[in-house]
Amino acid sequence: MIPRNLVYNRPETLAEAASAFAAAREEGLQPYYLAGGTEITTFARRGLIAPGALIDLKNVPECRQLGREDGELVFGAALTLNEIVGEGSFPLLAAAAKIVDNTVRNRLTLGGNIAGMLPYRETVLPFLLTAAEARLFGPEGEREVPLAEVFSRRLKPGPGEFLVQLRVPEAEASLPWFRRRRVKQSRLDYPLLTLCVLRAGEGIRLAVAGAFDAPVRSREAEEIVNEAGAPAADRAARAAGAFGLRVRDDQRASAEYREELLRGALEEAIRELGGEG
Amino acid sequence: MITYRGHAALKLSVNGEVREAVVRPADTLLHVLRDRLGLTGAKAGCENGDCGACTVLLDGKPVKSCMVLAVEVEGMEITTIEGLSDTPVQRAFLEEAGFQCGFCTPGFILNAHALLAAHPRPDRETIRDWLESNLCRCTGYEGIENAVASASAPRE
Ligand SMILES: Cc1cc2nc3c(=O)[nH]c(=O)nc-3n(C[C@H](O)[C@H](O)[C@H](O)COP(=O)(O)OP(=O)(O)OC[C@H]3O[C@@H](n4cnc5c(N)ncnc54)[C@H](O)[C@@H]3O)c2cc1C
Ligand code: FES
Ligand code: FES
Repeated sequence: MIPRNLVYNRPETLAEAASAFAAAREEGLQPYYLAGGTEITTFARRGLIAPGALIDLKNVPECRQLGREDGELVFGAALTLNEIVGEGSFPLLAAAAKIVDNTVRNRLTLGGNIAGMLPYRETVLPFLLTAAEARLFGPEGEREVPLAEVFSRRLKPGPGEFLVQLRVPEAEASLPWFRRRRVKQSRLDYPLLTLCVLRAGEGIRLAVAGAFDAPVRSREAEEIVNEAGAPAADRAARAAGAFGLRVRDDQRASAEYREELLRGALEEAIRELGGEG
Repeated sequence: MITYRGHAALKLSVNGEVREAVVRPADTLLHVLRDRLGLTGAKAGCENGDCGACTVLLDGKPVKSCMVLAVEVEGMEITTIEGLSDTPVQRAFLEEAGFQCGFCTPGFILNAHALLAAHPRPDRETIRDWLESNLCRCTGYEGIENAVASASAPRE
């Protein structure tokens, strides 16, 4: 049971959502945007958060948009992971969204996964590899910015702002891709490592979740992976150590083990996409 | 915009019937089904999204009702195990011994029922993909998988 009472709002427009958030704050209630609710309900039950008001984004049409517009693929933040898996216009994203189980994927959303508190946020990885734009809405109205401006390890919207959509240039969505997800036991476990890779004209782009305390794209590792001439195994080993971040070390896996998984996955990616036998 | 504070009188469409319930906006659908509407088929296992014992169908799709608020599902069709009667999946669970203590069974049956509606002839991989949403602490899953396979339309 969620112990504390809360106010529930179901807006139908972007402006209604932002003003419901502002009004709740004005009233002294701690507001949260609500999407799939998988994190909010479970965290609130355990007392990790105490929402005073929820603003449900699932009835705001822009947050539910899915399709093509002006050469871009549009992914509404309140789409469920199963809606994204089933659509498939960005194959790496469809693969990356096949996390958790089928039943949970019927509720859990793209925006909730990216804005969530747990450190994995696996569905952001494909977007970090493209020139994705984030469309946000807040008290100052709407803005569209490169995702990198509002996502660094976690989503950093302005006060009262929420994610409406992510938009990806169509041409990038169809680039050759590679993904490896390594877990301790079951496919449903949190990842020890998830590596997502796109092969663009200038070379390999790569981003990782699970191994560090947040999802990251590493230009340093990309540079090493894209060096001409050096053997794949050598590039993979050096790239795995080039992220400049502390590798997670916990009961589920040691830092050494995670780094070895990363090295192995990078080598596989280079062999599969890097044109080296 | 709809706003609920304090208590809300909701009209919920459950198993083809409109049911009224006074709920707190913080109440989960699982809690409202069990403690307000007397539909105790959905079970509270982990209440954390892991076990699937609380599975119900929303507009035909399986969801874990411990992670859904009742106020979120107004206007949607809710199906609980009480809404199924003598379906092929239920008969197959009996025939294939798909349960022991039965705690997980309503969740499995609803999930399998939805699976067969979406994929009348699922292959083993699709069955596994859907059924991994539910945990069973008694059986070895074999009877459950066999039940779903046998309830699916005969394959060519
Ligand atoms: C059983 C289980 C296993 C999981 N395993 C994994 C895993 O292996 N890998 C992984 O990456 N994730 C995993 N997750 C998912 C993750 O940890 C979050 O629980 C989930 O992604 C939250 O999504 P939601 O749509 O339910 O968000 P909600 O619970 O609705 O919201 C989560 C947070 O995001 C905020 N938010 C939601 N939408 C927006 C928006 N549009 N703009 C701004 N803020 C927003 C909310 O205010 C809240 O703070 C798992 C979840 C469960 C339940
Ligand atoms: S009780 Fe809902 S998933 Fe376990
Ligand atoms: S039959 Fe006992 S938990 Fe499945």
